[in-house]
Amino acid sequence: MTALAQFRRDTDYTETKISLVAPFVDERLRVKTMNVTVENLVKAFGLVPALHGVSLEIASGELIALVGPSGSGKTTLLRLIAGLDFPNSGRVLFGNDDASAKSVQDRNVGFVFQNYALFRHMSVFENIAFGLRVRDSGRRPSEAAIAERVMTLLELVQLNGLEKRFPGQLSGGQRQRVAFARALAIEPGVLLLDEPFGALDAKVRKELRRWLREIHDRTGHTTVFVTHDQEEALELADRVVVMSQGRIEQVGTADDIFDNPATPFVFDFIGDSSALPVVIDKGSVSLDDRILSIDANGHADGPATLFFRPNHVHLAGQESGAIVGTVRGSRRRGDIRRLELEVGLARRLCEIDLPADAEVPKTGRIAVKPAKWRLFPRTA
Amino acid sequence: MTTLAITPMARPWRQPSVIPGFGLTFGFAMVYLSLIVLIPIALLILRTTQLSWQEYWAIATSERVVAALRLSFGAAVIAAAVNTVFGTIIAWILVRYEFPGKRLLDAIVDLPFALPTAVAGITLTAIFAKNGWVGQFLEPLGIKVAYSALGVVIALIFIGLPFVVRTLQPVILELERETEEAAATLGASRPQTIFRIVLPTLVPAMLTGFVLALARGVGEYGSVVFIAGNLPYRTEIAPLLIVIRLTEFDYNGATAIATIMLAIAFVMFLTINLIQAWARRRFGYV
Repeated sequence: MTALAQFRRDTDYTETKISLVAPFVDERLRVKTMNVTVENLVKAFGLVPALHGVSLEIASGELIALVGPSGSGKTTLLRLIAGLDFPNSGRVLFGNDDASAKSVQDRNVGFVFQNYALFRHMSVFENIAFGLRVRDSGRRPSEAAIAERVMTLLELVQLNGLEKRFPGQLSGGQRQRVAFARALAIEPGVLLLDEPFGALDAKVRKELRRWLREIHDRTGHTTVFVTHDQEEALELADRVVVMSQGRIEQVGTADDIFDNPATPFVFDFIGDSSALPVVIDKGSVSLDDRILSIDANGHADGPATLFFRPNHVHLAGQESGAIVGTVRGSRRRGDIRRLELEVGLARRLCEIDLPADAEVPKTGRIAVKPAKWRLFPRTA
Repeated sequence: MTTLAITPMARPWRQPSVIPGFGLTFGFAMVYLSLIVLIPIALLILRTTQLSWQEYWAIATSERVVAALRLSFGAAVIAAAVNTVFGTIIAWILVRYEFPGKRLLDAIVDLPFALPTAVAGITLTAIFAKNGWVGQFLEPLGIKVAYSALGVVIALIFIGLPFVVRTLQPVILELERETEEAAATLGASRPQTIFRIVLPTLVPAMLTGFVLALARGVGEYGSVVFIAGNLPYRTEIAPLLIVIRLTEFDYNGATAIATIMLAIAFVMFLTINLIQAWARRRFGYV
């Protein structure tokens, strides 16, 4: 091979294709998993509160997602579980062991950082072997055992043949997979991933997402991952933890979170939704003094917010009790047409989805009715 | 067909660029470099050619010259090595920790840059002399600093320190915290993280700091002549020997020593540059 060809080969940054095979349990990689309990974690950075007493039960072998906007405390929670930060109060239990007193070195967690945090001066092989090499002589595997484990992991992350490369010679997706293999090398009890696909482009992201699910099924690690991408969380995780402003809003499966949002925040954050300020008076719901044909469902009298999703709305005829608004915009999205309606005196914008062939005036007023909705009491 | 192929190759370095001004800045740089660096050095070498090879070789291998060169380069290497270790530690605490008086310490690091070297030399001599503040405690231990080779090393440590600290500070600042955290989650103790992760990433910058401190040390004159005692064959540095030759109107002798220094320094720096270029190719960063 000429020097130039060698150089091209070594600096080939194109993504290697990840092939997906049917999940099977890989006994070489199977580990003893454990459940994780978070009890009343409180954390403040200086005077800025980051977590207000968060509690969470994570089952053994579960794949769980922490999702929320920036500053919701999801990364803080992950770092507290790892032992990279210390809580002001509260405990973290691994199995039945209180991990609070253990240092990060002794917790045996696999942590994957958003920016990969690979060791740039080490080859891919040495990066993955690092966690085994730093063990004290009694627990350190033999050179042959280390090599075997690294090769098994390289196979798992489908980077065979790249072990001599340096991180600078890899693409983003490849670096992410090296970081993953490095974290798995120490046979962690818990795997913690901080925005694992945050820095990758959409296509690679989607591929790696499926790949992560597959790896999880094969190795069975208790896995917690942080993401701001709700689609990623809902698609990948067994359960989703929705966080906001240092508190857990709701914990549940994708179905729970979508169909039964516990709080206005969850309804607003997960999926598309519209919100209208309404008033409940003696069991009837009214918008700007017009009574809507919506059941108050036993909600107490007083101001409330009406939430509904764009796809749960249909056109109403001339009957009373509909939501009336002015069409402000109309966009075609696949099989549906999404309209923007300006509703009420407050001129709130609502989004509604109608079939693409529905007869809708480009402008002017139309009446709609939500088929499903939620009411949340409004304070102040 | 051949002409078609050759036309774009005629000036391969002239690529169309969104950053214009190459011609202007390159021309300016060359004129400037010629006036300030290349012409003086060329004259120096030209002057040496007035000597025959036998004469040149006789000067180069004379006992006094060899001793002076050995002291100059030896002391500079030792001082640069010491500075590399302590300068790295000082840069580390200045970047990583908050403590009272941090800004003051940061400013003190620059003092050797600003202080006239003669003042530094006289001060160090006063402190390390037999009856000086520090010297009086070292004297009973049999350690003689002032008027010895050790004094030369100490003077060179003093003047070389800021080069290492100022080279390393921005590099330490750029270190990713996550890399150290990753090492910790993988079970590495703090010393393991420092020696296996942090220091290897700092080596290229430490090498640069070493080169700068070394270059400064080899050429240093002002502070050393006060503390060294300047005994021929023992504590006389090469730059001083050049000055002595000049005062004796032995211009050829002075230029001969100068060109030898130049050649040794050039080879040393070229070697270190090549090591750095190799590291950059291998790891993709400096």
